[in-house]
Amino acid sequence: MLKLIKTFLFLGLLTFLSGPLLSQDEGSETSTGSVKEEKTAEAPTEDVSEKAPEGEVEGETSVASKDVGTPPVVSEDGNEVAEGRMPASVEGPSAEDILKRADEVRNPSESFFMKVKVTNKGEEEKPSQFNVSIKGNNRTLIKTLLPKRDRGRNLLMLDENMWVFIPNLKRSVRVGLSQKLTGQAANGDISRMRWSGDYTAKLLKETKKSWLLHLQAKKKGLTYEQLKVLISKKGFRPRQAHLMSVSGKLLKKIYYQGYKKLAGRLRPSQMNIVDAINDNKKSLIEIEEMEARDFQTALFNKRNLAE
Amino acid sequence: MIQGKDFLWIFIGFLLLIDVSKAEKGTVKIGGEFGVRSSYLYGQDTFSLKRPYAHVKAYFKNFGNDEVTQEVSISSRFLLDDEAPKSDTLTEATYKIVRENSTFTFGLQEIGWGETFGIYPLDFVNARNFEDPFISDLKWTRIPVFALNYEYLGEKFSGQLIAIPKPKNSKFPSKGDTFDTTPASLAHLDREDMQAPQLMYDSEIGGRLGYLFDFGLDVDVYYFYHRNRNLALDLKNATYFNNVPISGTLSPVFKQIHSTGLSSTYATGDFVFRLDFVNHFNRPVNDPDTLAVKYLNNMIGVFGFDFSTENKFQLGLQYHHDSFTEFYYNWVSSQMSFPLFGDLMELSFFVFWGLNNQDLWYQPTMKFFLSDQFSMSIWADIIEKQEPKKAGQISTFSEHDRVFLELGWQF
Repeated sequence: MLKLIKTFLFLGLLTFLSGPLLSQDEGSETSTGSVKEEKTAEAPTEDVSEKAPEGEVEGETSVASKDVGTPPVVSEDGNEVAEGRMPASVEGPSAEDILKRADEVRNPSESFFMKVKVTNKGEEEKPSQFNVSIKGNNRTLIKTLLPKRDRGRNLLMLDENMWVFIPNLKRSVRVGLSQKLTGQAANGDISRMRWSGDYTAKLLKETKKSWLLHLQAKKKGLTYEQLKVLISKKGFRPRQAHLMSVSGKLLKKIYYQGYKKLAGRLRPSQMNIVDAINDNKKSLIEIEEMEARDFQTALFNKRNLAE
Repeated sequence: MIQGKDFLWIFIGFLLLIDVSKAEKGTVKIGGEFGVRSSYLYGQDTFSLKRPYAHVKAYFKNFGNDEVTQEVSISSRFLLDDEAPKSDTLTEATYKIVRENSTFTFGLQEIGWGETFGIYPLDFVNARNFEDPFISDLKWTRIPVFALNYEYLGEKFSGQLIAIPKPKNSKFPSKGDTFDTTPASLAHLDREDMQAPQLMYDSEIGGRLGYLFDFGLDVDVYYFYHRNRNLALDLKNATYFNNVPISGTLSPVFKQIHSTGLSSTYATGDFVFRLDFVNHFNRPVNDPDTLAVKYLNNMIGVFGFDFSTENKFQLGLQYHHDSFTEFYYNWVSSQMSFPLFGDLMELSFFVFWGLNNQDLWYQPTMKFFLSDQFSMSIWADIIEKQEPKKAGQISTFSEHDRVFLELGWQF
């Protein structure tokens, strides 16, 4: 009994000590260089809380139903601008250009860090939390912070390959890319944040307010084989995505919401994922922090998954 | 003598002395688990295990500059059962330096090799605690060892070098213990203590090379020169009556052996294929018929796949093969798991079935995630004998069915 009491006492001491110690910057552990740009979400400078226009995905009348050729990229003063940095006022961007611009909204740079919370409907009191380090479109390291029982179960994605670290085994184990992170969120939902490079884009419909793109996977092993993505013309903001299997069967819908300033510009801070069959099955991915950051390539190795 | 738990107090003192706030970009983490594990043994109608425990781990990172990362990890397991006062164990005490693609880890550690589940043929860098053969949880059975561990981690290519100056012996059930595997005809004989490994003379060395192919195949090859991890008993000074030894001494046999291995994984869609293969050269083993010690090549392989769906249903199938020069065993194992009531509960079922031997082992498990930190697991080990096949490796325990209960609280 005395031994038990003593154990409780020093565990309490450890918990007490861990409070101020853990308040240090955890995110910097994966950094190799200086931290760039702002880190935390800032108050939006404009009201961007408009809901995704669901009706536009299915009921829009199309202005153009075929691929728009790539026009010369010029600014309003007639000078050419760099590829990939098209001013929004230029009409007729190609489907691929729209996709790239939408990726720029979702991703601050080639290499960045974000802190993510995932909440499943009906389990709001038990959210999951992850630190996500992304380099390019084929290297992602996800460290599990919550729930505590899963702490240490870190995930690594390299190209179309994924491993999860099992703390009890003290080694990483290969898993499929389509496996669930938690709830309706698949590993690939937060580990692969760029569509261009993974998908071929085709413009399906265009209205005054938005474009509807069809994305077809270029590679095997991606989380979703096909997508339909609704992108607002205002700032090339992704609004909604329908995720489909090889056969075209609708699997999930994702709503991009909560636009606010993250890493220097307005970005969607929420991804609301809804099961296509049972819309009571929902998961909310919230980006709590985001910053551009440089990482060593060596960080993204399955042997490094252990903390 | 400083025991394992004393290291924790030393570490707490170290924590208070160093000015952690000045460690720029430093990360400090302290965590662990507090739990109780118990099991009820049918046949003997008794609790074979009733053990409250605590695992505690502390972790420091990034004392250094941007090019070189330094980490210190310390973890310990405290067994709070008064019946085992000397069981506190320091499970990890390492200093790690990371520079670009190179990682050097120095200290008391566990090194895991292999890709398959349930049975771990390639996990032999560390000695193991086989006192309870059905506790396969490596968290409990791996014996940490002092090692020098260098890894090169490239984009596709990786390599590892390991040196263990003084290894440790595996632990086995004592004479007369519930899980003692000594053949009945020899059980009455005295047993010598295991010879302790000698520093440098019994040192172990080896490593692996790995490559991740562009099409997704991941392959590792291994070599390790090491002390055998299995128990072989040599009968010395025996006197016989009707060919049955009536006196003598059983002496554990240990020698340095060469082992080579291969592991591989390949993922496609929802399927992941896995392979672990190891060959131990001239491994001392007891012949199952004559019980004499022989030095045989022992080849162990596990090949299988697992399949998972979006609603977290998982199914795995594996084929196991364990062969010596003169005899072999093979089995099939399967594991299935799925969640219930969201993520509140997980059910799983494991079966290990002997194809050419009597082994048949069922392990149903229920796990409850009562909160973010608190979980409860209930599982059973049910062992049957498949007559009239030849004796297997676990069917001898068919009278020892058990039920386990474990409560765990993470902090």
